[in-house]
Amino acid sequence: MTAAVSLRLPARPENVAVVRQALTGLGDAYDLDADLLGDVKTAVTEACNNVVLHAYEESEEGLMEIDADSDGIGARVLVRDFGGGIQPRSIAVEERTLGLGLPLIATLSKSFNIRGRSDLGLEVEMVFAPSDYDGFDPLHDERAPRADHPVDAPQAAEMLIQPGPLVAPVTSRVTAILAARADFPLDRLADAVLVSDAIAAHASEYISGRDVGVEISDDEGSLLFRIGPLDEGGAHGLLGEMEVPGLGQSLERLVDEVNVERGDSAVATETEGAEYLVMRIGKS
Amino acid sequence: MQENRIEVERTETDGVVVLSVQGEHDVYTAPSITEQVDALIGERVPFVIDLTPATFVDSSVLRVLLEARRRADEEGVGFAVALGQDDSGAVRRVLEVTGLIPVLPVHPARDAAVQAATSGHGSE
Repeated sequence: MTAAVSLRLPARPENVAVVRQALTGLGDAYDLDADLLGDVKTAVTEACNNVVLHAYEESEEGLMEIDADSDGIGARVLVRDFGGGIQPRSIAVEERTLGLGLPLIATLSKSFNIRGRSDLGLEVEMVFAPSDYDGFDPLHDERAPRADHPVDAPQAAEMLIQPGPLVAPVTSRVTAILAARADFPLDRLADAVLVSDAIAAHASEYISGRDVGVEISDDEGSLLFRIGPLDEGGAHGLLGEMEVPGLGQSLERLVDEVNVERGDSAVATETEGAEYLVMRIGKS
Repeated sequence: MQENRIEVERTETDGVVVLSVQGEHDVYTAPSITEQVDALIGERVPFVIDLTPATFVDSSVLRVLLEARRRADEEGVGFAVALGQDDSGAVRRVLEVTGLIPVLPVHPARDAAVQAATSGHGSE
C-alpha cells in the first residue's frame, strides 16, 4: 500500500517547513482536528530535524523521505533517511536541539517506532490519534528501509499523492511556500498557486490508475513543475484543461515555459520513458 | 500564508528591545534569532522575545530561549518571554509539553514582559 502523500526532499533545514505545509494540506483534505494536526506538525518537524542535523555528513547532500496517511481522525507519518543510521554525526553546539526532539515525539504521538540499520539509515514512524481511537494502527511495523530505492537527494520537492481531493491542498501549499521562499511577488505567487490548482484539479484524469506525481523545484528565481508520469498524450490533455471556461484564455499564459518530455520518475515505478509535462513560472 | 519574520522593535520603556517572532520558526530560522540575541546581550540591552505572534516553534527555538535566559542571567541583562494566553496555541503547547514554562521568564503579555525585562531579570 502506498501512502496518501509521499515526499522526497534534500535534507536541508529550509525543507522542514515544506514538510509542514504538505501535512497541513493533508489535514485540510481530511478535516483533521486542529490540535491533533498541530501535534503532527510538531512531532514530524522534530523527526525531520533529526535527519537534517544528524543523518548525513556536512559535505553530503542527503535524502529525506516522508510518507503520510490519514483517515480523518488519526494520522500516521513515517520519516526516513538513508544516512549513517543511529550514530549521529558530530554537530556544532549551536545546531543542537537539546535532545527535546525525541521527548516531543514520544509525548505528542499515540505511538512511535524507531527502526534503523547502520547501512540503510533510520525510520521514525509516528501514529497520532485520540487516545480512545483504535482505528489507525501502524501499517509499516514490519517494514525495513528499502535497499532498492533511489537514495540520491533530489533537486526538487518530489511528491506522490493519491488521486482525488488530496492533490490540490498539498500541491498548492507546497507551491506557495516554495514561491515565497524564492521571493516571488504576491501576484506571481498567486499565479503559481493558480497553475498548481489547475494541475491538481485535472492531473488524476491523465495519470490513470496511479498516484499523482508532482515535482516542484525553485530554480534560479523560477518554479519548475514536472507532472507525471502521464498517459500517452496526457501532457497536451492537461494543458487543454487549463482553459478558463467562458474567457477563451488559458492559465498557460501565466507560465513562462512549457515542455513535454520523456523520462523516468524517481517516485513512481514502471514509468520508463513515460510522458511528463514540465512548466516554468518566473518571478515576473 | 503568514510571513515568517523577526521584527526588532525598540520600546519607550528603558530602551527595552522586543524581538517579535512572527509566523513559523524552526531549525532554519532559529540561527537568525540567536544572532539578534547575541547582539543585544553584547550591547547589554534588556530584551523581550515576543512569541505572541508566532504560530509555530520547534525545539531549535526552545534552545534559543534557554540559551538566551542563561546568557542574560550570566551577563545581568534583563530578559523576558511574552507568550499569548491562547490555551489552544501550538506555541504554548510545545512549551507546556516540554515543561519549559516554569523554567523561562514567561509573561502572559508583551507589556508585562517589557516591564519585567527592565528590572534586570525577567522572572516573575
